[in-house]
Amino acid sequence: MARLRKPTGQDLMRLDAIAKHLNVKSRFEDRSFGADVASACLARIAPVIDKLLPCAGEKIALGLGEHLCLTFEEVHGPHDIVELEDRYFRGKKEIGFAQLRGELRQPGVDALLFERMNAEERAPDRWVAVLNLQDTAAKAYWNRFHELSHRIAEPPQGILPFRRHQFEASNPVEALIDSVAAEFAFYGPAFRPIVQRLAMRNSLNFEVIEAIRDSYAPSASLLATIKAVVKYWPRPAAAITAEFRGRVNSRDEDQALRVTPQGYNDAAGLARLAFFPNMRVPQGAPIDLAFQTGVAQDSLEHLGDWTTSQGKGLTPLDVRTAARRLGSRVYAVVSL
Amino acid sequence: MLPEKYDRIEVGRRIKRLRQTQDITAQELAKRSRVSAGYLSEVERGLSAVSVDKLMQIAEGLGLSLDDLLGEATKTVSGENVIPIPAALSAAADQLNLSHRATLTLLQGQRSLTARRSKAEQGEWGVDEWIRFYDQVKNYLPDC
Repeated sequence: MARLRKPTGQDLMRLDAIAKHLNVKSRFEDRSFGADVASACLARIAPVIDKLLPCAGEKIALGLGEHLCLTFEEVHGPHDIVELEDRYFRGKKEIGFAQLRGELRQPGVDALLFERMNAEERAPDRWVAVLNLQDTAAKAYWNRFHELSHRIAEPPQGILPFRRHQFEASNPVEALIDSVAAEFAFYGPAFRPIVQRLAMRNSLNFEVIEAIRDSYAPSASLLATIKAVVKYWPRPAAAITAEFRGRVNSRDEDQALRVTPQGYNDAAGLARLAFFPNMRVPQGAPIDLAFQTGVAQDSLEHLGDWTTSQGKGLTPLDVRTAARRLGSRVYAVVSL
Repeated sequence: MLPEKYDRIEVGRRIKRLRQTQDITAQELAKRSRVSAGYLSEVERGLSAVSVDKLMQIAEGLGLSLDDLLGEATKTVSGENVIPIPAALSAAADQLNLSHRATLTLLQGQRSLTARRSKAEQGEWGVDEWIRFYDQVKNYLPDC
């Protein structure tokens, strides 16, 4: 996970506005702030989702969008841009949509959120989130919930003295919104029973993760699904990724296959199952084998074999590691 | 447009908190803002009435606009939010001889894109960008 940068003045004002909007008493500086904001959002929105249950993630996104007057539009190619311009710019005289083509021409734009000027207050498309899926659809599911979470957590934009433009993983506001999105994208009362039912008869591996993804959120990314499954897995579990890179402070130095912890469940904390960020993967470990051979691994290993360059070791646990390489990255789940 | 009234104590607190969050000492902010440290201290404690010019200097020292600095304190006596028009839009409106209403509609249109999720940073629009936007939407503006 990206290290958060220090909040700027604008970040701080947005964080304060979120706290005020949700009636959260803590402030960004307080340890409990993230959890307090997520709880406040859940308290507001859970009754809406609970009416939809039992259902899967995609339906929750649609139901929340309806509740929040937010419509999702997907752009897969130039024809979709033309269609949206016709519908909103020329059809509904929403001049903001004149920016659509130019925005989507820029590299790295994942989503745009419009608040329509000419919409009735409760119009179902008062807010329009345009998801740019021209290069990849991998983030579509998560971006839906991210945009919904902005609508849930933040006061209406008109009240704010600033606009949000940029997403960076290290941005403290976006990280906060992502933590809210995690609550809704894999909503506990709907998602936990699916995970726990499969956990009764299976160990944690990618077949189980894929089965859960297929039944709950087929369009979710692998990483988002892994993190959510680990969170609700009833036994100690960790999600990690690994890439070939150098030291934290000197990316070109001492390059090796190194891990990034992506998430743990509460049981992992009790079992002291944890990895040091950026530690090397030992040669011959399942993650290393998946990286070297490209063949998915699912086997037992002893974490006592993992040590840092300073000689620090992991808790010597016997664990099961499932690892799969996609591109230059290895995704892994480690469980007891 | 300048706020006719604002909460002096609230603004002072806000300045202090923003300064502390950015790890800037009062002396450093005073230097950046081209005001004396004693004056800044009084402003932060809400003891001193502060002119808009000085507030703009302090906002600049904090890397913010006056609008950002004042936030919700930016209300007129009637309670309505002040709508600041960016300097570049103002210059474009002068060039294009736009009415106030058309200028505000242009601003509202641009701001109806409330968020973009992107790794790339986007700066404020310059005069040329406002004129280009005007050319695209002029048939939908009032009084045009």
